Amino acid sequence: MAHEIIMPALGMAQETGRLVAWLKNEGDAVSKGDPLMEVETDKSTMEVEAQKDGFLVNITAQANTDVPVGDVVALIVESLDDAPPRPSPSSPSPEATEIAATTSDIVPKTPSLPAEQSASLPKIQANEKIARKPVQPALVSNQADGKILASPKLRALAASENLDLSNLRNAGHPEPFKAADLFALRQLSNQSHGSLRSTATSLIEKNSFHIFVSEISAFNTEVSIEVIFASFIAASLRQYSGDDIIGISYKSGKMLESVLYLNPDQHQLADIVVSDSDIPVMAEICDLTSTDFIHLSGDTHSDIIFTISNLADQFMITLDWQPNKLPQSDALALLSDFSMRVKSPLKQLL
Amino acid sequence: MREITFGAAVNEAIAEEMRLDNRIILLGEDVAEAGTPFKVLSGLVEEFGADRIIDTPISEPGFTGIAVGAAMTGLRPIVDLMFGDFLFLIMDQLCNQAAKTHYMSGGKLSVPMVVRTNMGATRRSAAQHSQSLHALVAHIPGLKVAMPSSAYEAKGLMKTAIRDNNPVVIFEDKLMYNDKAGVPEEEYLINFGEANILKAGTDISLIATSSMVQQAQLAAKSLAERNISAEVIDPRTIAPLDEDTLINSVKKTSHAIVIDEGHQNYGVTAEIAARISEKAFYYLDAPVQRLGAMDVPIPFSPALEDLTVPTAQQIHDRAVMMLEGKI
Repeated sequence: MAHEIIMPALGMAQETGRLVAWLKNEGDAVSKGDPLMEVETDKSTMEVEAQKDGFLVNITAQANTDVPVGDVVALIVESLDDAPPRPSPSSPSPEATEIAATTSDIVPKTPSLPAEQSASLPKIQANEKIARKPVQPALVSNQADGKILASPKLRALAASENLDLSNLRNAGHPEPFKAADLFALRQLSNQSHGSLRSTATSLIEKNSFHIFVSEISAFNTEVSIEVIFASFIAASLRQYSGDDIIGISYKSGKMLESVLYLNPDQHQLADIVVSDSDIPVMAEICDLTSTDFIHLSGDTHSDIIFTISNLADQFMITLDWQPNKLPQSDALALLSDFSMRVKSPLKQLL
Repeated sequence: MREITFGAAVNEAIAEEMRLDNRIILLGEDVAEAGTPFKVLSGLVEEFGADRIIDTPISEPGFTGIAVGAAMTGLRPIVDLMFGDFLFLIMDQLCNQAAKTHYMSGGKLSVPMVVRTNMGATRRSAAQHSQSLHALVAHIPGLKVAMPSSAYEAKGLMKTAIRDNNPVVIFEDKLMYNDKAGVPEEEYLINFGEANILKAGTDISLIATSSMVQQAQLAAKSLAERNISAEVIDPRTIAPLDEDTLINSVKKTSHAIVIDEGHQNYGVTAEIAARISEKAFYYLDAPVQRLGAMDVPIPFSPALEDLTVPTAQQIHDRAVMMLEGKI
């Protein structure tokens, strides 16, 4: 039967003991009275002796760890065949690890330790660090977790102009932010407040589009101009975004009420219906063709906004976009693509 | 303007003041015939006699105590402390007595005494003759501390120290005694508590004392080659400290390095950096940097000793790192 070796209590109010070193290896033959391990408490270091003859197996506590008093740290068995199977190399309990970490630089009180296990090595290294520290500047780290790193000067300047430093972090500027980053911060803040948007406008003859609508209507009385625009814009967006799901918010009518369309370009025009699902909106369409307005601004949240209005015999199509989300070249390509579809709608059917 | 050495400037200041005021005496070890180990006081005993230039036994506490008593009773003694390291021997006379007598006597007594001593490493004098202990003195209320950075400063500050009615400790860098600078023939004084802006600049403030002023000036030159405009400021006295000049400079430049040859821990660099952080915090664009003597006993080994003292190159490198946003 296996004999348990436990962490002994060497002091009155002792909760853990430090296993300094094993003096025998796993599988070694031991005789009663052989020193097995060295244990240190806050007052002394002592050797724990074998109480029986046999073989040392199942070492579950490693050298240089703190072990709760009473815990089994190994077994002595009569023959190696009796050794119980080991599930996996055991690691010290979290509590013991914590204690080990806080006491790891305590100098051992007896000089009897084997050199390679001497706890005095980390102590010497720690002292070296302390001695060198004052002559080394504290370098800023590149990691940007948690609190934003910014100089007091930039903080004061940003506060006086009501600018949000998180704009710099979101734009990927390296931290800490300094006064020199103020210009970039102003630019970014302007953009996120929406006052720095870009627009482009095209004018398209209505002629072909009207012919197209009347021909479609000859087959399907249900098809509205609205779904045609939504379908065309979704097709254009799909070409430039590569996204599978294209949600479009469509404002139209005298009251400019808003509805949602989901992938309108993937349905027959007659089958396009308003979606009630909670999809992200990729673009807004502001259809002013049934109003007297040619332009409407403000009240917009999307990165991409198409405004369509009447100008005599032409459609005026304005694209309004966030330059930091959509490069100008992409925006202009998007507007050209949609304009081309409105100009030659029959090509869409082919 | 004529150029004279730092040592000659100190000698001139003491001689001029002794001619003006016969209450002034000077006492210390090897000050008369020997003229001190650095030959700074050569010729004084010939002019003023052994009654006023007094060679004492080797007992710093003894002759400093004599000087404190003499000052309280009407003389104006100058104590020559051969090495700044010997300050530890006169702490009671200086800090408990001289610094507090005016206060403890309800203003009835004062101690118009000057302790002239030295500082500075890299002279291969080892750990007990190389320390820069001015911060210890500046810590004590009631003591003034002057730190001349050139021959011109040495003369003007010494004359002001001698005329002050309170105890003043003046620290001379023992490696600068042979350095020459322009010193006018005509009389001048340098007021305590008025920092000197040696070079105006806009990008970074280099605040340096004593021997480190030269290093800061060299660094400012090499920084200028990189289009960095450094302002070099010498506080001249660390007690009293001209805080306004330092703070205004940092408000302008938003960057500061404080350089001093005392140990960095709890030293002059720490005090000045703290004051900048307190009073110019919202103007700072980088943490205030400190360059002091390494916190080790000063080694005798020349190779090691040189590593313990801040250099122009270190100041330059630190400034570049700060302005490149690496600190």
